Amino acid sequence: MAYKYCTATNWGKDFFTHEERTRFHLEGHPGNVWIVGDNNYGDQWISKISGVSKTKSEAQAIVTGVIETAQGVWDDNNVSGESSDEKISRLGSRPATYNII
Amino acid sequence: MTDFKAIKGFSVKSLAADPLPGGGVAGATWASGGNLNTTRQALAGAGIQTATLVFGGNAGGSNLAVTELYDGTSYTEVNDLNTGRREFAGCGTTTATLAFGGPAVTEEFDGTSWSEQNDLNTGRETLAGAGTQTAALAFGGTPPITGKTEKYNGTSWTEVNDLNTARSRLGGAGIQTAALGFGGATAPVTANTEQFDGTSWTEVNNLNTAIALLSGAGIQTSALAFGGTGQSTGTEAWDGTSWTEVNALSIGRTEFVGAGATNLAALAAGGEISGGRTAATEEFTAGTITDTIQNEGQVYYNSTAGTMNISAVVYGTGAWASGGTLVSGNRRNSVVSCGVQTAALIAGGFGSGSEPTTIGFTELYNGSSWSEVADLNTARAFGSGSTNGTTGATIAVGGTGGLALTELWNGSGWTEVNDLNTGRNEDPGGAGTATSALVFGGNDPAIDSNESWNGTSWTEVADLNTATKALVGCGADNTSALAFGGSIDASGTRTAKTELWNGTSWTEVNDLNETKSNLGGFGIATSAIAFGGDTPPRTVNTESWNGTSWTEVGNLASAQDKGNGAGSSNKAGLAIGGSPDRATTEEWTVPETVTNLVMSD
Repeated sequence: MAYKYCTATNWGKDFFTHEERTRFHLEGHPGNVWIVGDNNYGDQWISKISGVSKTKSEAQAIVTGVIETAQGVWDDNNVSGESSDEKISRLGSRPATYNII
Repeated sequence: MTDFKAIKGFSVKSLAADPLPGGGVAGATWASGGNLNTTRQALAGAGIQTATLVFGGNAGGSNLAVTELYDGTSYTEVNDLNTGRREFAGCGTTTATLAFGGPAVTEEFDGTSWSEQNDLNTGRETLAGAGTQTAALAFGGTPPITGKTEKYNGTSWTEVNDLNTARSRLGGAGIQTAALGFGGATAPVTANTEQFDGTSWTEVNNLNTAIALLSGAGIQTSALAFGGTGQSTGTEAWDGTSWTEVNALSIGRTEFVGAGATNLAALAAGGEISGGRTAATEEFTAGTITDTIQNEGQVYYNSTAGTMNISAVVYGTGAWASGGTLVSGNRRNSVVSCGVQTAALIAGGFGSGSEPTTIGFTELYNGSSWSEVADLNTARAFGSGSTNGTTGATIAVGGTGGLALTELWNGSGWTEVNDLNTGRNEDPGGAGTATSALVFGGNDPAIDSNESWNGTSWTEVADLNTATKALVGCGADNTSALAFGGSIDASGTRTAKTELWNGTSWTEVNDLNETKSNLGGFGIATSAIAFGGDTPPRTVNTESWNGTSWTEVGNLASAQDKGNGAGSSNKAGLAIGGSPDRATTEEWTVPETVTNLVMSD
């Protein structure tokens, strides 16, 4: 399956509808990155939400950048004497980068 | 392709695959809902897809107490929790909510503010919850990982039998006496599912994917599990027996809120995403006939399967779910109740107690909550009116002591108009609208009198075949109505009789399955619901009328009589108030989906 990539801010209700979800693949990722099924309906949705088109590598860079920033924040958030398990309990696991499809 | 257009006047599409992924939950998808005002994870929630309360959580700093109310479109901030916290649980409705855990604190929300209640016996985080504010269930959690289960009775928590598999970060659904627990962290993550019968947990079929930090929604026979470990978008639907993978979330997330009444109507809000948190809400909803590519009656050729097909509406199993609570308190034997499930009206009736006074209160329902509007001019009970009226126009007729009064509601107030020819009380039947109505039976001893309203005045028309009181009537107007159940003599002999009005005369048709009086109901002459009533004793029984006969369908949550109905078909409606003293509403819904059918000879 082919995909398109874009960025757009989710404004909430009707940003994507039930009917649109039946017509094309859609995934949301950090940095307001959206992976959209490559068909006419997907194109219409990107237009509807005024999505800014990205290449896959550009989209990957945005996602990775957001996660790396979060990793830095996580790394810098320490409490004296706290074990790693206690830190995970307090903050959750360290954010991990991943590859988008 | 066959030139069907030339024959029948429209084109037949040739499609490589069915346009619908299948009926029921298989055709449901997640759509975007409103965004939270406060982005956060590890929050809790309660309610249904169109009326959800979310509270607490964490946004990277101290624990939050922020509470927000979702109306199906957007969130509004309301009063905070007394104790900010994260990784806890909630249950109930938006006007009667319970928050518990994280670690032991319990709070109740009454629609306006939170108040502290008795703590859990075992304080814990990452637990799951189910039930209502006065009958809740808490199960699982950490630290340490536990299977402990506690019941809340509106006042205090009591320990009951543990989960068979101790776990934290699990999903939950259902009510106190019929709950479901699934997934969670046991080291390792588990797919294990257990169901609770009010006493003990039993292992049932596992999730397809072992997962923790997920959320759940629904009831023990119709649940949804979604999201979870690794910012999963995965969604699985439970049909009472097994889990099936269905359409995925758009935004994978953990530590978020799940809410919803069934596996066909759920909500996911907030949570942790990779590298941060989200304010996004997604709503899981079945396909509807309003979808432009999924219309009922769409004919197409499936070129892969080589079959001619048609899309058709299919109906699922109807069930009652809890709705809003009347603002003015308990209500039975109203003068009139009418409207539809999402826009209803109730006026007059009795309040609480063994010697209650009549009330004139009028309230409007918006699908999630009731609000008071202008009172009847004459407080009374035991009347009837245009049961297929609307929140903008209806009439209230007769009532206590044999009144002949008619009052007209115009959306903001009641005005007295022309009286009935025959005063009547003891719950006569009614049908129609503010401009075309019918009122029949009532009084003690019961009468067979029947009157027709043309928007201005009443005219006596052909009588019922059997004089009846404490019956139910419904119908679209004064030419089409249904009368069912009731009492037929002074000694209170109950009846299952059903009569059909065609504008000229009444005809006896097939009886109710259960003989009863003081029942509730709604609908039209070809599609109606009868619920509750006095057999005796009071009953939870619900029957659905298809224009020909009655079929027993899903029961009310609790037995009642003297209740009040609103609804325009056997697919959706309300049971409002009732006896014993009740201010609650139950919502009847038959899920509707569109599916693909192969056409054959």
